[in-house]
Amino acid sequence: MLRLTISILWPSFIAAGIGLGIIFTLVDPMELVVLGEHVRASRSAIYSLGFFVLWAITAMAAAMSAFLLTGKHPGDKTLGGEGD
Amino acid sequence: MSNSQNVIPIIVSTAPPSRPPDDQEDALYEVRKKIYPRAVTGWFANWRWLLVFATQLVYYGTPWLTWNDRQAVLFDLTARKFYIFGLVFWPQDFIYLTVLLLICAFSLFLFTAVAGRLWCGYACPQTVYTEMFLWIERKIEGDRPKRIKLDQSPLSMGKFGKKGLKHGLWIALSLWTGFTLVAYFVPARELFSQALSFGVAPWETFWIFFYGFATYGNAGWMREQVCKYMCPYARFQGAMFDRDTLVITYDYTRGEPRGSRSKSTDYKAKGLGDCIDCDICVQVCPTGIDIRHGQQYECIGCAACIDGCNQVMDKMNYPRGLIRYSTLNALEKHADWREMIARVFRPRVLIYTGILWIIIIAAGVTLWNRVPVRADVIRDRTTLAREVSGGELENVYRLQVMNTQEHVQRFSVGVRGIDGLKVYGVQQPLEIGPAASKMFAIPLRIDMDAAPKGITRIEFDITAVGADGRPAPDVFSLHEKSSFYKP
Ligand code: SF4
Ligand code: SF4
Repeated sequence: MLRLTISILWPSFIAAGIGLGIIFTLVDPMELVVLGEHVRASRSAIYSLGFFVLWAITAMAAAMSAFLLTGKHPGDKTLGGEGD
Repeated sequence: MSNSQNVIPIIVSTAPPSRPPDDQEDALYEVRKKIYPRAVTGWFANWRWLLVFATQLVYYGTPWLTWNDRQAVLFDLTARKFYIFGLVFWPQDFIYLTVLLLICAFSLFLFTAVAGRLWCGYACPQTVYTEMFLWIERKIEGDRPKRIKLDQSPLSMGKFGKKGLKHGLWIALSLWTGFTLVAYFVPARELFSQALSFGVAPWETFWIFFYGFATYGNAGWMREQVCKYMCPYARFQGAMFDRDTLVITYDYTRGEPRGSRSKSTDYKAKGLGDCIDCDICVQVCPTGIDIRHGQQYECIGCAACIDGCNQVMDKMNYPRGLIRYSTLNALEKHADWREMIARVFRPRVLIYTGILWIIIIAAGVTLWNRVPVRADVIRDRTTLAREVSGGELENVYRLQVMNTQEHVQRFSVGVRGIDGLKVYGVQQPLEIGPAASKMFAIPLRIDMDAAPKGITRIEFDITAVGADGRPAPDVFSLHEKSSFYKP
């Protein structure tokens, strides 16, 4: 279980880090407009929160991949059956 | 160094060597067997310690260096500027970061092709911190047999005290590591005085603890599992390996058949090989594998088994190097090191080297020719072209200037493209402070009749002005395109 958790959290952590780097080299967080309003937070807060939002999204993708690889297929009667 | 007992007792194991079942499918849920690496001393262990000291001196020390009255290396995210000694980088310079990553990647490819997992065994932070954490563990709990016994013993005051002390020291080291990481992004000295008065800003505090926790978890608990399950490099390095890559090998033909014996036995007469089956190589292995089973992906190339086995060989008065750095080709053909070195210059290595040099030279040249000032002109869309008194037409532009140098720079702004067009009402020369970025409003005016209708391309000339007040285009002279509009 530990291994499954880290194989979801860790690659998504790296991906989120790269994504964050690219986004915020191109965009200054101070010029960020969310829902029509300028964000009123310090840059470090935006960087940090941005990182966690990205991480949550990438982790979701990784979790889905993990689920598709290890989860049971519907109609698969064998207990704990592997996909194929 | 870290070893309290420099003599390795030769324990003869009678159990047949067995490789634990390695079912990759079930490994996702595998229960980990705790590994208790035995301390080892020797040539390679010394090298590893040397690298631990070198890398950590750089890591912990760098944030405290100063340069030009500021922190020498500071990735100032809040100001969106990176300072690296004499250089200041802006987000616009991110190409250099990409190039740096490319250089790192190709150096790693090159090293891996030639010398295998040299990085893993000596310089990877995971190895380095594990080594430091293990050292603390050993100082407090003793070497392998003692640690195994301690873990099996019931909880007592003594055990509680030892474990508590160990974790306390681990946590202290981890927090210092986390602090150092944040000190690359926030000025270290300020951060330190804030830390002393518990006044560190919330996000900075969070990241110190976050990175500290990651260090504690990875080096204290996860250890070899990081290499086995988390490290992408460990998985794809196989693609860079070939039969001439330096790896840790067990000389099968020399060692087998293995078997225990006393020092005085004429083992050759008994038909035995050089391996005395003492299991030392397994006990010292941080990933808990038996190198005698051949190359395995878990092997991080730390050479602990070489040091361990060499000590055994010395004791037995056998030649060293039953386990040694070698290549698969050399091992097969019993080649000596001269032939191994000759094989280093093979096409794969030459190609990696070639690409690496091209990137390094290109990066060096562009960095050398980096303009000391960057400029960007946009027509101000908030104020439309308008007629001003005296029958003149005016367009206003925004000139964004960035000074990549750490001294004040002066420059003048001119314009070309339409006869009669001139910069109006700007106090020339303009000035920009060290490592600053500034916006200037530049109005352009022209006689209404002289202006062509519609959009006309124009070009701004931004030229350095020397101390004598004269243009110094050799310092920098930039040309920025824009357009002039007459409704
Ligand atoms: S290879 Fe060396 S260290 Fe390992 S069991 Fe044989 S003699 Fe001992
Ligand atoms: S087999 Fe030897 S070199 Fe490989 S990880 Fe174990 S001790 Fe280190």
